[in-house]
Amino acid sequence: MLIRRWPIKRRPTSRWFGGTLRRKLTFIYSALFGLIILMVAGAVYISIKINAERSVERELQSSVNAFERLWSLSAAHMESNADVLAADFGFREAVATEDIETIASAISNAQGRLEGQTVGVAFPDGRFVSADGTLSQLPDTAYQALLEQDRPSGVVRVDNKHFQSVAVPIRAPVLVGWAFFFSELDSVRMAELEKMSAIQIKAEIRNGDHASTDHDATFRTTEAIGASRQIKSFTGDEAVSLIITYPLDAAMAPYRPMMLAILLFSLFGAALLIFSGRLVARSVTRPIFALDKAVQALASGNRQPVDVPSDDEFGRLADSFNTMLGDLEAREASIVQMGREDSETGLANRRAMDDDLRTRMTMDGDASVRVVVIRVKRFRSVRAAIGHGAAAQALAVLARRISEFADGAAPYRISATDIGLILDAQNPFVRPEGLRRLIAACAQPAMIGDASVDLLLCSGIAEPEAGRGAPIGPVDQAVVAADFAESRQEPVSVFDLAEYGNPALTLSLMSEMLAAMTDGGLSLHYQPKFSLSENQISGFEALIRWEHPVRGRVFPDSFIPVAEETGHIRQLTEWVVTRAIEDQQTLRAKGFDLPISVNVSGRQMNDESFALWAIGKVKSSGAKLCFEITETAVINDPEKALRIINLFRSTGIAISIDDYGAGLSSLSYLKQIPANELKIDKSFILTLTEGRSDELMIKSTIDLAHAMGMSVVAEGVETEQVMALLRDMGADAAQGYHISRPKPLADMLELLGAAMRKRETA
Amino acid sequence: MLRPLRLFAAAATFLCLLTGPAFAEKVTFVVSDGAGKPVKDAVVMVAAGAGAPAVKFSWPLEMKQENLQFSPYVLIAPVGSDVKFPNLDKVRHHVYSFSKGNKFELKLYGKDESRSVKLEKAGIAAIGCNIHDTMVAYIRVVDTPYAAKTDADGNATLDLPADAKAATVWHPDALPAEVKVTLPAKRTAPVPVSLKVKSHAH
Repeated sequence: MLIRRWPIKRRPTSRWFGGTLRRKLTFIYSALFGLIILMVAGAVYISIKINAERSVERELQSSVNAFERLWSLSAAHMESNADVLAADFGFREAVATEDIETIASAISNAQGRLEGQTVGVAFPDGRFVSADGTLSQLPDTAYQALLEQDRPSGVVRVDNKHFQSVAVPIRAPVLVGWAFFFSELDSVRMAELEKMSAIQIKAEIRNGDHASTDHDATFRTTEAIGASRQIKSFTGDEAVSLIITYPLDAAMAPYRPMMLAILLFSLFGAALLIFSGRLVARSVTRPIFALDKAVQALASGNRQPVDVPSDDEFGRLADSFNTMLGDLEAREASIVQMGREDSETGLANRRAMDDDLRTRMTMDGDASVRVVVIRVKRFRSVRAAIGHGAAAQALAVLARRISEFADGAAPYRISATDIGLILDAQNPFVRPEGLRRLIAACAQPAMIGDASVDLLLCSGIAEPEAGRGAPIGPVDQAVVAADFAESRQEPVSVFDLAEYGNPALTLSLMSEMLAAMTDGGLSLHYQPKFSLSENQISGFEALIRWEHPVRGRVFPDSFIPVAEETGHIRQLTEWVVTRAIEDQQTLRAKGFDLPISVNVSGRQMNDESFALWAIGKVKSSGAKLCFEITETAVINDPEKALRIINLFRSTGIAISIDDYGAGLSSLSYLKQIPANELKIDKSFILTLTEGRSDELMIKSTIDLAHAMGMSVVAEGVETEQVMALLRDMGADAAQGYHISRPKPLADMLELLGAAMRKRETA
Repeated sequence: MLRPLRLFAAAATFLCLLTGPAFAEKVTFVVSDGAGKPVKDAVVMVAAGAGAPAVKFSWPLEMKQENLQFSPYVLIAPVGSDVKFPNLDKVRHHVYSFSKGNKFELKLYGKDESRSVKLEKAGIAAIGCNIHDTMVAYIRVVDTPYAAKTDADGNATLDLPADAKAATVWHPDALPAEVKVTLPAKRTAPVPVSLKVKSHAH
């Protein structure tokens, strides 16, 4: 089965998303979950932070408000104390009369009564009396505040300490001074304020625009949240603020366990997800793995059903795959079936025969099998006459007859003309006589429709065991045997490995032959034809010689048939013709104008392009040539061959019938071929002296040839005696060792020269 | 006997008017605050020269307590005179002054009771009541007969000797409390005085 692999361009996979589906799934799930966890944790953190900060801000705000209330309470308290002091008649008298000692004692008395408060008195001119009786001048700003405001109160700073202070006028009854009350805003005061808050705040008073003049401002630094509230200063033109801060750390502290819990849950969840993700991914990918494996197995030709027991999409996919696999098997079987059948006749075809034979030979061994091929001769003419369909029907009829006669052996149509059989070695029809009987029984005409079709049969037998060394298989061996039978006009032929030769060798032989044409390996020798009437050389036959550098002399019998089979004969013939014309010109130059005969294969007699080439060559050189052909030259296509022969004759190329009497010498062909010359085969001449019958036959052949207008050349003349006999019988010329062996052109020149000198002396 | 005495007296007076300070003339001061509002109770004083008459005023030298207020708000009294403090209220008062030189204290006394105090030193006596802080009044103790306080229209008229050069104008609620005014050569027109007065306790 063939699976075509289209190259699929895959994207290069990255490290994270690459690899198996399982890893991808696990990674994507985990990454998504991680992201969600991160987002949730972030959202929780932010909301907690905002919440914490808000509640801290609220707390700070309320602390500031509390401080403000506390502040005004304290101010009111101090004011009322001051009022009490300022209203005292004795004190007023002391102030009015600037009785410093009395004033000081009254002040320290009041201080003793009011813990944590400092008391002082200012005179209208700005002098200030403190509890110890010392006099000092009030700072200008404070003095101005006294002059401008009836009862100033607020924060004053003395020696970098902050005091809450109030001043109330002392009238007796006119203004005689002011009673001052101070309360230091020391760490103790601040600590009181800090303690009032639910959270651990830090309170302080600062000068200057520290935070914001906005009344309700809260602010944030990197490590703390704070709230500030501007406090009225005593002088009214100083910026003093209460700053309350709360460390962010402390704000977040209560939420820390919760954050930790969220973090732990997230980590636990992520771990759980990765674990379960892997499980899910594995369960998802396992059937995919199985399918992947099965598909890969299918691609390499193994059909493995997939086992996915789940009833989800994967299960269905696996079922579909298995079903598809079954369909595929059935379809493939039908394709194989189609591949095994000859569509014209419905018979099993060559492929089927090869398969079956292989099976038989592996099962039973080569020795037990024989292959038989039965051929319908001239099937092409039959087919041309009755049409393809009818011809195929005729073949089918023949196959049926063969099968019936051969006890139901299965026939194969292995080519257009051939029916093949695989038979047991013991089968009687695998022996030539049995097969001959089979052919004879099946050869009666077949009725196709109304027409009767003649079936001329021949056959070949191959023994796989005997033909084991052959480069072709047993079926082809049987086909070759049938070829032999057909060409030999025999009904049966058995494949003979030796006879078949080795085509592997022939190919190299041919290439070597072509090389030899140019490198001098091939040469022409000449054998003279001796005119019996004129007693002198009347022509030459050109004979090819091949001196192979390795094989030594290669005889024409062993390479000319190969050249004919492989189609190299045309080149060889052209080479011979060209060389012969050249040599003839050499002879002419020496004064010997003699015809040269060249052997031309029967195939060339059907080759019009060769004929045209040869005619052109002869015309252009003015050569005197004779083409020696055998009777077989006209067997295949007599009309065409005769036309070409006539063409040669009309252009002055003589035709000689070679080897007459050796093969199938047919008088009808002899009558048809318009030859100039008949050469009697040397097998008759060599035995000429032994009996009368040959003598008679030769004599009558000579007479027949003369009667048909041909001159007669006798080959194989080896003795003077035979030559004399032939002369008596009326033969025109003799050729043979008695006259000369085939020799190079130089020897021929010498021979001619010698004969000429002899004649001149005679 | 009386008649010649009286006549002598009249003659003496006439003489007086003719000789020395005999050229007395009336000078009117108009006291106003910066905005042109008349200032009431401003005291205009001109220092007494040689030959000035005895310091004596036409108004009673008394500081009444009536409706929990002192009345008048400002009283001009000669140095060394006795000033009476009659209580016309139903409640009792405890009148005092811590002013330098004129310090006194009239401990609680009731309705229709009167006390008097001799004011020994020229200057200002700020009078208060220890019980009622809102009760405030001033006595300007002077050593000159040429003193008067402005009426509701801010006018005060003095009979001044011709050689009087300058006047002092004082008001308890003014800032500064007193100003000096140079008298013009021609005294037919009223003398304008400007005093910046805070709104006082009343």
